[in-house]
Amino acid sequence: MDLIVLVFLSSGLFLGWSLGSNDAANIFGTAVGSRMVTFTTAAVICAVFVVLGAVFGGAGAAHGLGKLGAVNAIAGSFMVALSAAVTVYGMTKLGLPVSTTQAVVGAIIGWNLFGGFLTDMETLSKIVATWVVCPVLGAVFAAILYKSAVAGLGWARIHMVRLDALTRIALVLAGAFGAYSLGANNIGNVMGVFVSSSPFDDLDVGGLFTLTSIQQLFLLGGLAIAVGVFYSKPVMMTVGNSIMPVSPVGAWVVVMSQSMVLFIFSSNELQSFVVGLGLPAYPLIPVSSSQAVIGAVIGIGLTQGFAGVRQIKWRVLANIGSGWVSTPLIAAAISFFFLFFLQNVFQQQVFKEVHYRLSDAVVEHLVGEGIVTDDLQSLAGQDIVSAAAFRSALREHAGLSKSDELVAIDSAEIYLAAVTPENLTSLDRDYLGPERSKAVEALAGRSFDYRWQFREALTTLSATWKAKEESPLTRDYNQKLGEMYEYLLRHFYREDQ
Amino acid sequence: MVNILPFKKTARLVSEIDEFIDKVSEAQMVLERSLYHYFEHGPDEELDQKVEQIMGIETRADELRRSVTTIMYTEMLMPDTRGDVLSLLGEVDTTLDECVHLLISLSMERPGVTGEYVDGFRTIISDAGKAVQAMLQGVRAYFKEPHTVRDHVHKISFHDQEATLVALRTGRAIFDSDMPLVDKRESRDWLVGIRNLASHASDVGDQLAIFAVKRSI
Repeated sequence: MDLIVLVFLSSGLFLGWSLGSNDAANIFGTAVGSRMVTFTTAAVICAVFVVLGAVFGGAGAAHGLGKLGAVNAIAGSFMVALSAAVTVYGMTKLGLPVSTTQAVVGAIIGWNLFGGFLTDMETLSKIVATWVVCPVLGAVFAAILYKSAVAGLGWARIHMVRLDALTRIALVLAGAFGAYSLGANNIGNVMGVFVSSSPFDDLDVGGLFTLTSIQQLFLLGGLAIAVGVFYSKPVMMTVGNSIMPVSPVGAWVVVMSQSMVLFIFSSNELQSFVVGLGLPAYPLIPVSSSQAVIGAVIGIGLTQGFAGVRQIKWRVLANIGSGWVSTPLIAAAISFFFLFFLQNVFQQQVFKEVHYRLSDAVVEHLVGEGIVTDDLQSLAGQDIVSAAAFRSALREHAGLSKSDELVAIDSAEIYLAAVTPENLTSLDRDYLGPERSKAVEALAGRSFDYRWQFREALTTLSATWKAKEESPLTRDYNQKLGEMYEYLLRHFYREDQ
Repeated sequence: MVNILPFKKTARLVSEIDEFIDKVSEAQMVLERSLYHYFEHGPDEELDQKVEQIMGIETRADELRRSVTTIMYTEMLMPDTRGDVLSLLGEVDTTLDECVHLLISLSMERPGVTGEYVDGFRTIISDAGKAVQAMLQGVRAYFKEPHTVRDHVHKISFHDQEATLVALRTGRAIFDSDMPLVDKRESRDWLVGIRNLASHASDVGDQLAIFAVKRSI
């Protein structure tokens, strides 16, 4: 790996370090601040489980931000992460409420605006909805857990001294779960923007298992968070001593509730289970652990009736609400400015241009999709740079519906791929399976201009490459198939576009 | 030091706290029996044995309290409530000291309480004893079922008021009598001394109620 790549990753690592040194306090703050658990114990457990969560559970939430904007040049990723880090640092210094997630979202939107990429409004609205849902869910979980814990303890009549010992163990276990969830959920903030431009190749670890390029990226990010955890003592003591005056059992409830919220928004398995129950799918994206904690504390307050409600600092809630708007706006502005600076002063490529061309093949494909293309003829054959410009052209020349417009943009995006004997030799056949690999090998010598062409070619060759009809039961299968397509498209990518 | 599995020390601490409360309860019962015995039979050999018995109890209780304090600090147990627990155990220990002090004083001073006032003394001893026992039950409840502490505090308060009323009534009767002033003052001191057991139990009860509320937050 080039040194320059490490330099570019440094902003993500800095963001990871800052996340570790701040958010670890949400997990172990009360336990350490109240001296129920020593700082060393807390830091070691937190560091180990953050890394495990990032590497083995990070895939779900990290892709959530990718849908908002796939930053496709590593210099761009560097600036997006740096902008988010600067926003978090600056707003913290000014005493304003800030969430890393919201800063990263703003920074990605800044990149989209700078590069002329489209911001998926559907994904954005889902992300914004989770900012509201996250503290609310934290409060609901905390209220239920707290009531259950109080009832359970009243019934069990555990001696105070034994309860103290059990609470310590419960705090450590909840902290481990919290750290795993934090790693799994928030690695998307730290390394999510580097996913599309990951500099690593898949790594075989002693023939035991393979660490994918993304997992290696997440391992690095996880280690950065883990290092940050060891710098979190002052914040932990502050959190434990002043912000949350709750009992140790209350502290356990807060940590559990927060961990559950983070886990929900990062677990692929849980999401599939929820969809399997016939409930609507929710997005897997990084959420703010601080806001989940505040929600949980409020949840405990609400269980104590009017006396509890009176203690709630409603101003804190108002500040969180204002942060939902101010943080992304500030981060987007900083990101836009920084990207401009890096591109024009340091002559770095902060995004790869994406070209769009409405070729005959694309028009034919759109007709096949049931889209009327008569008005699009004037655009035929034109090479248009950037999704925003192509969308403007589409709107100028054709009155497509929103959904048809998205299909047209997706179909016209040029992505050059070539299946050569050289890159076939390094194909991960174990990952694809024999039948699918055979179909891929049959493509040898062919090249493609669009993603959908590559997909069509494979589905014609083998039924194993066909997606199943969408249903809760086939969701997993189709998602995995989609990941295989992405792997192949990356593998056969041709630079000469 | 990694301090997440202090189960061994926990079991020891639970047993020592329980034994400490047992010892204070035992001391109160020894005092009560000794007083009854004294009013019935006057000073005799059994009273000396009771003094030795209560001093043995005090020695053991002091050992236990020292051990509990040491474990709680060295193992950093219950950091949020440690102060309350140690303060509570200190107050309970004061009750024990009062019992010991009363019995030793009885053995040394041998007050001359005459027949017609013995019933009054008996009632105060009984009420003060009940107040102390209710206090000890409250302390045990604080460790296991803090929400029931109020029930015990209520009982402590009742017995304290009863003991005060009877002490007042008996004291007035003594001072209205033809008894020499020196005997009147001696009897008054004993009335107040025994009643103070109930009064102190009531103060501990007030503290207990606050500590129990703190535990529930």
